[in-house]
Amino acid sequence: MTTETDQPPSTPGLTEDERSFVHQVAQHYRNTDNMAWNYGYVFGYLMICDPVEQRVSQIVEALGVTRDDVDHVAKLLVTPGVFEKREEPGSDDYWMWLPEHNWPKAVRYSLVNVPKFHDVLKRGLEVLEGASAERRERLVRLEHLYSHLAVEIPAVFDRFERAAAK
Amino acid sequence: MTTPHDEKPSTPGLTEGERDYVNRVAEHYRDTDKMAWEHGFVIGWMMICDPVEQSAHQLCETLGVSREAVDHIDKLLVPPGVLTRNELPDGEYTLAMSVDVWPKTVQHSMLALPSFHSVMEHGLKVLADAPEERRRRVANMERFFRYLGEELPAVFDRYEPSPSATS
Repeated sequence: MTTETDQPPSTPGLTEDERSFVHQVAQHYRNTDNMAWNYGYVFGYLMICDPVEQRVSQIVEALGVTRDDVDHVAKLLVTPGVFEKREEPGSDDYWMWLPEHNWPKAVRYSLVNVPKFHDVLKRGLEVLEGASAERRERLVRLEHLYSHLAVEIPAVFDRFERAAAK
Repeated sequence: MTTPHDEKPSTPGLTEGERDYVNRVAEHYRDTDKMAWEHGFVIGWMMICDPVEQSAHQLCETLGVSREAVDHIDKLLVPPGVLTRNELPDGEYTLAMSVDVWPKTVQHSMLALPSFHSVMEHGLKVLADAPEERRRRVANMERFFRYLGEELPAVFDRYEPSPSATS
């Protein structure tokens, strides 16, 4: 969550180049999701850190973020299966890493599920049949968008897979 | 996040049809994001609740979910603007789903894919001399988002947003 005091972290353990990349990732999520700088820095760092697997305490030190920030990102991205996490026995530290195929896989999965989500929205409009326009409007607008995406997005992936198969 | 106590809430305040819809939304998020049932139920209900604006307390009662579940959704969906939060004098708060932010956010994130792809290209430059194992994450993303960045924005060239639900 962004606040007035929200500032990019100090990244004491990063080279200038690494910082420039991590910063751009954070900037992207700030732009699309209004995400706090520290979370976006953790996202970006896990894309390029060396070694790939990092202890939470290492992430906190390298980026100058808080343990809470790393825990929040773990909650956000371990759950859907983008990052992976391994407990460190006998300590409250844990390891986190980004397996090399996970990010594209997760994005692809949510995009190919767009037609199914469109079906859910259509069911919602049935349930709200006869309800006031004010109550229906949230769903009407979403369904309008998803009726378009449900046709277009699968076609994008068909082309992608045909191209990849060549 | 799924926990050992993760169960579908009892939804005492919902009709059968409403519960059916809200349950399908929760199933969707469970499938795509492994989202806890309670969280999915709150999102689904915010899409169809009447009135549009609901207090956290009301949400807990109607859905039979925990206060933590509502607070979690507040933290997740208020920053991107999908839900709007209003403070009440007694320290309580209300949530309401905006009619146009969710569709706009979907569109905005797809239109932002080319810029995300440029970030990945920059990452490959930064890691130009790094070992293969370190580069692979960014290399895979660069390839994938190069394609999506070319294709998905075009999807919106062919899209006409609805001017208003009531028209």
